Order: sequence, then C-alpha cells, then structure tokens
Amino acid sequence: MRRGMQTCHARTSGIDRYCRTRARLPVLFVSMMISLVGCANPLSHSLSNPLPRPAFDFDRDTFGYTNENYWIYDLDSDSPGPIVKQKREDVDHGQRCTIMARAARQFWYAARFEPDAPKLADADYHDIVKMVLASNPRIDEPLDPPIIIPGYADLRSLSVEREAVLKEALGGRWIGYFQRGNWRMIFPFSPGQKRATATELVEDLDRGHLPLVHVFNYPRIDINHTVLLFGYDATALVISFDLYDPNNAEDSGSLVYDRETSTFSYWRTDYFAGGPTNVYEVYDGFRF
Amino acid sequence: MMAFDSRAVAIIVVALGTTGCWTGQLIESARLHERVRTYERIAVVGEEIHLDYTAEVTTRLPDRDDDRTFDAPRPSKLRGAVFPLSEMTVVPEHPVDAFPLERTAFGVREGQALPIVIEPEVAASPRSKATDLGFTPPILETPSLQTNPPASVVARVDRRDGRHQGFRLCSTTGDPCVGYFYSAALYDDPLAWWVYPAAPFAVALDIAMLPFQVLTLPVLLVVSD
Repeated sequence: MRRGMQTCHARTSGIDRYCRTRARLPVLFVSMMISLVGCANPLSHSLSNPLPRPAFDFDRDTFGYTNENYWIYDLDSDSPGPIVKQKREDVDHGQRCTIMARAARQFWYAARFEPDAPKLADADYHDIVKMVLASNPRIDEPLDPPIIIPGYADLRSLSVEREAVLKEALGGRWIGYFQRGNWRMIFPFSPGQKRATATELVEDLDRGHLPLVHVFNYPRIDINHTVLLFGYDATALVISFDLYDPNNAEDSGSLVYDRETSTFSYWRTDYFAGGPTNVYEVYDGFRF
Repeated sequence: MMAFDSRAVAIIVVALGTTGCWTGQLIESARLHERVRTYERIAVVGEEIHLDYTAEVTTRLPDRDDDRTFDAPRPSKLRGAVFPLSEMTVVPEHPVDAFPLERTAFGVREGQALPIVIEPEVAASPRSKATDLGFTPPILETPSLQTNPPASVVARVDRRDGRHQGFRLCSTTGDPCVGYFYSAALYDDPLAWWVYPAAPFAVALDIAMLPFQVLTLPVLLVVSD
C-alpha cells in the first residue's frame, strides 16, 4: 500500500511539472483522475499482488517501426578480414535500440491500452508517451495505477499509426551511449559469470519479468545492441531465449546459451553474421 | 623532439585505451577447451559409472555451424570421471552444466569394462534450431538398471568430426537401452599456465588505463550501429 501511494505521488508531481510546460490540460485532468482513483483504491491494485495480465505478445507489445542501421553489411562475403559495409543514406532513426527496447518494456509494465476510448490528438499522445517513458525503467512489476492509452489496442497499432509522435517522444540516441551499465562492457566475462547471467535471465522470465540485455563483443564492434527477452526454451544442452530486436518488427529473434561451454550466441541478422557474444542485463538494479 | 614524444605517447595511450580490458583478453586467450574425443573405457562399479576418456584440447571453440570435418589431429589429454548410475535416468534430465559428476585420474580401471558400440548412423532429419546446435534428443526409456545390469554401451558419434557425443547403457535382455549421458557434461576450460606470471602486468596496465577506457567507451559506440 505504501509503495502504491509513493508511486502515485511521484507520478502526479511529474505530470504537474510536465503539463505546466506543455499546457496539456485535458491530458493532465484525465491522468490525475486516473492516478487519484488508483491512490484511493490501493488494495485492488497492490503491487505485491498484481492483476493477472497476458503474457508478452510480440505482435502486440512491440513497435511497428524499426531502429535503422547506418550501415549495410555484406555478411555473405568470403573475404577474410573485417566485414564489408557501406554507409546507408537518409537514416533518421538509428542507434535507438536501447531506448526502443527499454520503452517496449516500459509500455508493457506501465501502460494499459483502451481501444474503445476515443482517439486523441498527436500532442496528447506525445504527452502520454512521455509519461510512460518517465516511469521507472528498472521497474519489474506492473505500474499501479497504469497510464491509460486511449484509442489503441496495443503498442504495435499505436506505433504504426503514430510513428512520428513516438519517434519524437522517444528522443535521441544519447541514451544508448550513456546507459548506466555500459561500464560493464570493458571487463571480462568468465564462464561462471555467463552461467550466472543465464540463470538469472531464466529466473527473471519464470517470475514474469522481461530482462533487457546488452549484446556486444567489445572491443570489437561487430555488434553492440540492446534487446528485450520475453521467453525461453531450455534443454539439457541449451537455453534458447526469445527476444524482441528493435531492428526487426516482423520476427522475434533468438539468443542461445550453450550450457556446455557457457557461451551466448546471437542469431544471424542483416547486421550480424550470428555467433558468440557477451551478454549482461541492463536497467537492472543500481549499477546497470 | 618533445612534440614527437607527446604524439607518440598520445597514440600509445589511445591504442591501449580503446582495446578493452587487457586482463580479460589475456585470460580468454589463455583459456583451453577440453572436450571428449573418445571414450576409452566405461565400467559399472557398484552403483557408479567410471569413465576413462580422451579429451581434445583446443585454444578456441569450433564453430558449431561449421559442417567441415576435422581431420587434423589435435592435442589431447587423458581424463577420468565418475558419477552415480542413477543420474543417467533422472527425469527431467540434468542440464549438462549441472550434471553431478566427479573428475578423477585416468586409468583407475576398476570394475569390468563394458564393450563400446558405435550407434548406427540414423537418417538425417530436417535441420532445426536444435540440430544446428548439435543437439540430439535424449532417449529416456527407463527400465531398471538395477534389475537389468548394463552389458554394453552404445555411443553416439558426431559425424562431422568423429567425437563421441554421448552414450546409452544397454542390457543383455533385449530391453531398450536406457538413459543418455551427454559428453558435454565433461567439458572443461582450464587456463594455460603462462597466464599466471603475465596477469600482474595486465592488471597494472588496466588500472592505469581504466579511466581512459571509461571515457572513450561512448565514442566507440557512436561509430557502430
């Protein structure tokens, strides 16, 4: 109950501040009413006893547009040495994998879509999206009360129809450069640490939490990516994680943990040839 | 001369500061990968399985998706292990990284060795994610190993390089072979000896370069996708 009240006050003050600057009074009013109702009825929406919710659905809970690559990679080349790549022209939404993967999780935890409610203007959706993004990115339980998104059934339909609004609201690519956990890239990952990471990811998914993971091969920069895990399949030999890759709105991807050698392998994409990578969880605790 | 020295120092600092953690790279380059090549002797001693096997030692892991055969001989070690017989038929089966086994010296030679038969090649199945990873589904029929003591071993072989992937135990009574032991459970990754005298130098270098590495990290991220 106390946690619910604190969340509500924090969000209310955030809304006030935001709406003073933007003067979006209708959104402010609706949001405050929703927040106040949530505060007045904490028992039915207790964080420690969250309402049943459907599992993460790739076709509904991800963005309808993609993070773009700045380069075109020739991954089928047999030539030795670095992968050949060409600069891509007219990229206006690149290096946003971190913010998109993070936002997908924030929408999943913090937002509730109400498709039967009337649609709002772009500016109102911009403000609502900003509210979702202002929620704690390290949250691991549904926000109570949730932020209501009227007029759409899910993130997919919202982002397809209001792509420009979401891109503008999500902002620049600096979040990826200065993500708090980036320091971890510098240091080695022992087999025991990789095993612990795989175990923690499975435990997260078992309790219904969606881990955000940084996938990279620093100091090589053949991959430097952030994805959202939402399921897994385990055998005696491997754990295959299902993931949302912000670069791909059509298909889910896979990250495979090999129990024998304690190695992660990222799937083949149009920007990575597939193979071993380092992995750690981000937006997880104080240090990451 | 002073300008040249400053430039040289700057280049060295940048080079050292953008190559990641030297200690980590040193350790990874010293890591050896020991995987079962062939089982030399498998014996049942009481309620335990005793293994003697040859482990091939490599400095890097072969690509699992590589369909080439590996004819070149590799360095090898003779290893031993022991584990409870009952663990082979546990349902659900143990993950290979948590299989309860104990490593022993090679050649203890207790008990009667079971004949090792190579499993006949099965028809290739359509490629799937599992087969791409070298995964072979286990066979989990569970007649009692106590009432039908194992009389032979059927080993499954990786057709690409001849490595023994695992084995089942078979009795003389015609019952189905039981359990499945994955050779992956015997994987080991020791460090080469030379890493220990070299490590202090790498650690000292990392301590000196760490602030620079942290500062340059965002810059490196900008140039990639």
